[in-house]
Amino acid sequence: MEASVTLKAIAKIYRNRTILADLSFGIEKGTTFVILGECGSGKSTILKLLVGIIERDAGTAYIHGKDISTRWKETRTITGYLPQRNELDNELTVFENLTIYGQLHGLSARAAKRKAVEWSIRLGFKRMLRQSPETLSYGVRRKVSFARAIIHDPKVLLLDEPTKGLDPASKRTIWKVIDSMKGKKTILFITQDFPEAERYADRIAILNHGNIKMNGTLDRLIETTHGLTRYHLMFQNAPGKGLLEELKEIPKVIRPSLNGNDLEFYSRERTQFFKVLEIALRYGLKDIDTSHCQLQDLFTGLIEGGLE
Amino acid sequence: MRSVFVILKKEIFSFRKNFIGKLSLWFFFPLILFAVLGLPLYKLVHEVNGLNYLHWAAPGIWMASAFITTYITSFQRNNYLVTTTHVLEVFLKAPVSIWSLQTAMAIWAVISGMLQLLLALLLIGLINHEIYTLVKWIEIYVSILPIIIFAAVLGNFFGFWVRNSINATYLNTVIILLFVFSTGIFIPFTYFPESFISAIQILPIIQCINAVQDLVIYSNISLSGAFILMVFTAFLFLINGILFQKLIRR
Repeated sequence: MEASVTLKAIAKIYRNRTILADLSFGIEKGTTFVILGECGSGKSTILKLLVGIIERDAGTAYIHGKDISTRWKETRTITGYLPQRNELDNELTVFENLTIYGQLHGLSARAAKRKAVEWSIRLGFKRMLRQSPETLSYGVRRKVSFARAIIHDPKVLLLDEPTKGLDPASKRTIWKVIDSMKGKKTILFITQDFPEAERYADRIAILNHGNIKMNGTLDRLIETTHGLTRYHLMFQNAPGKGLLEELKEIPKVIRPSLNGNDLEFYSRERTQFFKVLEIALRYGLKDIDTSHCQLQDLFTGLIEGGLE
Repeated sequence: MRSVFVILKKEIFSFRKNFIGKLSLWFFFPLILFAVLGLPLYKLVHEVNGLNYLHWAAPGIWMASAFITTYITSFQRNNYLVTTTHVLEVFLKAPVSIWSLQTAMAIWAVISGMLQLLLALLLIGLINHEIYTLVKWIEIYVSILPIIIFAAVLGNFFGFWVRNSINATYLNTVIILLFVFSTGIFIPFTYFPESFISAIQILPIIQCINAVQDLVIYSNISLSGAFILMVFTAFLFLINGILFQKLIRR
């Protein structure tokens, strides 16, 4: 497979704080790639850097084999970027916002107008085309921003939390469009929504402190947990710190945490679980729930530590 | 070049939104200058070099209204880009160079200034009963154009970099006061101290203003001041572009 987006040893320092450090990864053409990370981990910085809103301090980046610094005109023409914040121009109507942006990305006036109408029908905001963005709800503004990012039919789509704050119906509409583009375009998106990442991404990267901690398919990432299971125990009454003290004595009980009446821990071995069960029964155990380690568990473990 | 036209189109769309308000301002602005500066000063000065003060001050009203409209338009449009709604990001992520953006913003301000000049020429001409030939109109436009371009680039520069609204208000007030009261367009230089005159007359904009006054009053054409002002404007444009290029994508 051919590389669509490549980052090599990228570094970015902002106000003496390292945002990205020696970051390298690649995305194959036509695949969907998601970056997960805590707030402030540098996810949005990667997208802003690729699209040219900010400059990197070190490293090189390529989009479709073209250096984003020297061939910026070409790379920006084939890239569509949806920022986290809807930065629509309130001085223009929705229609003008779309057509001007399309024309800035090389569309003719006629093609930009046609595309604006097409996308407004598809995303359900045709009635609002003549309105100012400031009169619209957040959800509609998000859809307009999304339409603006894709109006010029870009080969590479960079989406920063595309469905954040949207109602389920609007989320579905946007994901339906993104889904229809899968395989035809390279899609790099950021989300805090783990089910979205699991459902739509071909590859997942977990970013922490400005660098990729893990990168691979969902199955491959889950495989790295080597059969780790999450146990959730519910008690009739809050069991108190004594339970945690006792659990610390049992080896291979990973990250036990008590939250009110609920206890959570991870383990790879069933026998360890039986030992915990024996103790838990003494504390008034009410119910048990077990599940295989999910992306969210892996993410929390990597960010907060303790699952290694 | 295509992106310059698209940005200009965007500016026209924005202008269209409240064009009646803006056109009204452009219409009344030279009249207000005439009423609050021209008429009171006429009571004090009467004549300049044997010429009726109101006729002598007419080029001053044209230049002041064109300069201020161009500068404020340029300042406001550029300031809007960087402060109001973060619309600058729209241009930074598009295949548009900083030079195209800066050029388009300056061109829009120049167009505004030229329209304002047209209104000022018509209105003040009507009040003073002055009728100019087409050639004279072209000469006036050509000689005031460098001042308008300078105002556009100056507005570009400060609009990009002065983002605090209070600082911006002070700065713009000072620039307007300086242009109106210290360039000899309303108060003749004979009323200024000698040392001030010798210091200020080396400025290219003053030479340019003097050339416009000479053109209207004595029909003398001198473009040396305009040339120096254009060189200075080009330098300011370049500095602004380089700074913008270096600092805006931090």
